[in-house]
Amino acid sequence: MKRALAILLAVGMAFSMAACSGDSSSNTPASSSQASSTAGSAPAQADGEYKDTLVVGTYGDQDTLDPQINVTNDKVLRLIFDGLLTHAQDGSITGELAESWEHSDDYLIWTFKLRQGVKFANGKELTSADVVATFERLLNKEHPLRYSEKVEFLDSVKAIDDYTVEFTCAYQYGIVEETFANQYCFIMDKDYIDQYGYDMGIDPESINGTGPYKITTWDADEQMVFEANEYWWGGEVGTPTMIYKVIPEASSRAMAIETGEVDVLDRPSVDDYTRLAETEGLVGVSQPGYGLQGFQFNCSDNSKCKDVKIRQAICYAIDRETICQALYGAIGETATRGPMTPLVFGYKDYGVYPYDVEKAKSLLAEAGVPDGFDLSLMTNPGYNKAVEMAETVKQNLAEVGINVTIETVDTATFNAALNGITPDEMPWDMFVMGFGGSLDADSCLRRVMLTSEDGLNTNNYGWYSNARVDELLVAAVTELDQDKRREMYDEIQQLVYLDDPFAVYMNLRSSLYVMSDKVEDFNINAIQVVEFEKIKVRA
Amino acid sequence: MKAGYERSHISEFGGMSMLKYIVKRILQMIPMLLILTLVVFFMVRLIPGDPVTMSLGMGAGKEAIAAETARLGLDKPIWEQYFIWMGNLVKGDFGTSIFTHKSVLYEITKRFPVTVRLAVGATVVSTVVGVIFGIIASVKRGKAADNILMVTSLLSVSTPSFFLAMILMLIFCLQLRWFPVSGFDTWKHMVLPIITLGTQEVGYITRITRSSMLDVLGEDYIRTSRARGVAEQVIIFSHAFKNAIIPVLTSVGLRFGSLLAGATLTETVFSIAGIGRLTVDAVSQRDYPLIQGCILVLAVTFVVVNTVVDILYTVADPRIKFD
Amino acid sequence: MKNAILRRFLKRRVSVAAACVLLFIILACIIGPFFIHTDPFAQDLLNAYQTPSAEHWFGTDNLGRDIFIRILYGGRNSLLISFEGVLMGTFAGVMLGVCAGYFGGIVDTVISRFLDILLAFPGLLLAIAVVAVLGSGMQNTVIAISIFSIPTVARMVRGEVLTLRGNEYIAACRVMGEGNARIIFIHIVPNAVSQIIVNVTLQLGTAILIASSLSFLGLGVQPPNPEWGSMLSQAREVLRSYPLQAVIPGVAITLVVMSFSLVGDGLRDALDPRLKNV
Repeated sequence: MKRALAILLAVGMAFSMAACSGDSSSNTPASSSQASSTAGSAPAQADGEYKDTLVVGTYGDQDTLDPQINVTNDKVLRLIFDGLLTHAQDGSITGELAESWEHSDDYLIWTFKLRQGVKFANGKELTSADVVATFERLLNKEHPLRYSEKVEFLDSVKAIDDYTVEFTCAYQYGIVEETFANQYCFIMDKDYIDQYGYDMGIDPESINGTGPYKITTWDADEQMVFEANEYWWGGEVGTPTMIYKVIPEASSRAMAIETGEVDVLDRPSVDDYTRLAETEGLVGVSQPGYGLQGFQFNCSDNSKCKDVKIRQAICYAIDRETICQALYGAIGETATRGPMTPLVFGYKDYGVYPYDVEKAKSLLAEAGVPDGFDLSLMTNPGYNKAVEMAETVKQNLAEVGINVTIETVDTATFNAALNGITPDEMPWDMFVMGFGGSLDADSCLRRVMLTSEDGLNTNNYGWYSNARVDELLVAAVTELDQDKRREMYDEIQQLVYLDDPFAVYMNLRSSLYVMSDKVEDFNINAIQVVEFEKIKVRA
Repeated sequence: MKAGYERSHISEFGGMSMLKYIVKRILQMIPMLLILTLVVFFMVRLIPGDPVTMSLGMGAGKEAIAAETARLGLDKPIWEQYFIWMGNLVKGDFGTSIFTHKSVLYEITKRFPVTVRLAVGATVVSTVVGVIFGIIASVKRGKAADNILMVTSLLSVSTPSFFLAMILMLIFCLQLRWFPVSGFDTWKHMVLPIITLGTQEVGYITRITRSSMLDVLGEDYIRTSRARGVAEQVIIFSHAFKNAIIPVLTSVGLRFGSLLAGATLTETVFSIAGIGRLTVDAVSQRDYPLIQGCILVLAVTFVVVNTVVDILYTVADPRIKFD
Repeated sequence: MKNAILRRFLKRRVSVAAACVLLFIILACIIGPFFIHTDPFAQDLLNAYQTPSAEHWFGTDNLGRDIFIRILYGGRNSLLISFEGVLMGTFAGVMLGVCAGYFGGIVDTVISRFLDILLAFPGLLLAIAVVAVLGSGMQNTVIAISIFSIPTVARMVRGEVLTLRGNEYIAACRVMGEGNARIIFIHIVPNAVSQIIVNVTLQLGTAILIASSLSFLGLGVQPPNPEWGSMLSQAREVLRSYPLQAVIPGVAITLVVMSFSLVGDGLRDALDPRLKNV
């Protein structure tokens, strides 16, 4: 019963995916080769023939709709809020609430010109004061928030005039624009910040954004109801009312789309997907590139995995292609070919890690453990089929003499263990993990791979340490020449994927949806965001 | 103190003593609830994991963790935390949920009635069906009807509830389209969850009824009545049933409390936002104030129902009365 | 005396049939693996979710493992867990219930309140809390189940003792100078045996289902060790698409639970002295 929520939390935590609110700068309907738009061939119909309510079935509720606190995911936030910048259909950065932006030659001063005439859902006009209030809340040292460290490169923010905002950076930072497109940089209403402080985001009355919808009802663990924001600067939404319905049980969720109780289903279970997609009247959409999943090594002194040869041996001993085909083949997920997803800046294809039992055995012999050893592996059912994945890994490793003991833990135990403990407090040699970030390599690699300075696993959960990787990660983030950055990331990936493995990377995760074939204009973009505001459902 | 002795003499002392007994039982609840608060408070803190890292997610950073820990008052010594919580509790303040950021009392008052409706429905349905089954089975003891009823009712207890729920959904939601799959707003939403939860209870009540009826039917006075030629129907309904129903209703009452907490699975499968799901969610999120609040409320309900049942039992059971 | 009980039990054909089924299942779980050499852990990833065939009598599970052999090995674990847990819990419960009912007074008050606390704790939550605190694994699941089954038994026994204690017969024993222990174990407990047995048989079923809920939360027997509850909870996720996955462990659990209860009924009827002449 906890599974759905755990998935949602795990996903939300492992991937603070960038959010965006559609391709705002143009009025032409978005279309992309990656977008698996469904029922697009249906002829345009008169308005009267569309339903006025779109029902989306999902697996778990949101924690809060305060974008600076929410750790669930940004799917709902982006219905309500907009950022200064966003990702275009192809993943490139484009303006959303910012009409234009520029930086000083030393990249320390960033100036944003706001789009004029943008209104919040309550009719108030957006001005630079709102932007300043939003960032001051995020940067407030007295009250650090979940995402404050993501913007620690910012020194100050000030309004130049009603529609111009200036940010001053403390140091040169390579991914300023990328950061501004994230959920925690969504612009909130200054009046609401003043009025509600840190108590906003739960009561619909305390939520006010410039996005296509406003939330009118939130029945926790049941449903959220959204009405079109009549002041939305992007024009008219596809369906005036939207209901986000929480159906925790996978089989009930499958049944809800079969009976037509929901129009769109978010994350059907892997095992239901094929059957549902083949059901008459239903269409499945699987969009890869969501991130990676695998098992990370505990590289501390307490674990045998400290030895690079053992880590390599483990990597060689696992038959990723077969495992991924068996567990995730039905939804089109494949074994990864590098430590990042192909969409990320800096990605390089290294091929699937070779499956070579002999090589694994000889590496183990070199490492002084020719007969294998005992290894404890932690897994969390919140990750998609992570228990099954652990069982297959156990089977593979048994062939090279490594005796794996699996321990399944719930998400709270998982989070507590991956949040600043010492190696002595870490009982596992390997643990399940999701890998990813936004669309820049820095967000995927630096935070989790940089050697921990204080010996705690606050971000680098497995105490991975490689001096060259550290050096390159730090250099790459302040390097402003993108070609040079790419070279640096090539070298980093070579190290963490092959030469000094950071983790056993398994499958490339994908977003899954099943919907009725009456749904039109369903679009999922490069960073996995569905533009719900465009969807129409034929009556 | 001497609850056992007390009971035996209630009838002798009449109404005043009954009142005294009730007051005593209520007074006894206070230390018990105090112990319960202690147990709950310290037990949730023994469970690995904590609400701060849970609500902030992995790799939250030391500053954010420290700030959140301080905000929640979890940096204070544990006894101090307990007394702060208790102090607020006495004032009627259950605290604020860490995960939903709402008052615990608000969450509970929103979720509790939903589950009560579900549990009451299930109790009524299962009691009616179970008692009828039980009487028939006891009267036809050893015959085909008895065997069939006992096997059927056992089948209902031993079928995992989510499996039953899914079968019901397949038939009534998907094939016949009579009822919706999720929610709990209208009677249409309520039918299947009530049947699912009630079915689990039917088996139990059938067995208790049968067992209790057989006990009574074995008593001397029934045999005497039979020997005197009293009609079998009169024996069953007027003599046996009247006495046999007491332990049945006692069990029904006692199970009602656990039914509230045991509705979790049914609530999950039918997407009902009830207190069972809330409690289990709270546990998995290590939402200390919410777990404490939920368990306390469930426990108080349980204890109150239990006490009432106990009192009624004392009043009604002839064996205790005529001791 | 014993023969009379046996004869009465044998008269109840449903119970006899149930006892046979139970015996068959238990024996199959114990002996079966000695004759069938399929590896319960051998995965065949590309042949997952197969329907029953000559090769795999019950089909294969989510990792292509043979379900039949896993049911046998899983039965060993499940039965062991529920037996151990319920018996431990029942023993503790009977002791507590007898003490509370027999001695009354402060002993009764303390024990009753303790039981109330245990009972007031939602059952599954109690099990979760116990396993969460102690750590997962088979032994701790057993402890959780035993704690879970204490209060019901204890309350029931207490009630039984309360009614018996007032008996002239017990009073007579006391007058004749019989010791408390003797009175309790010779005169009182045997009278509660039928109730205890009915309760044990019911609890055994609940225990398997609790273990299954714990497995679902990742707290029970750890994978890849087979156990009926964890097989069932794994199947729960694919219930809509591969219902057979749930049917097999589900039927196994249902059969065992039902058989226990029917045997319990039979024993109850056979043992209950009050029913001797009915």
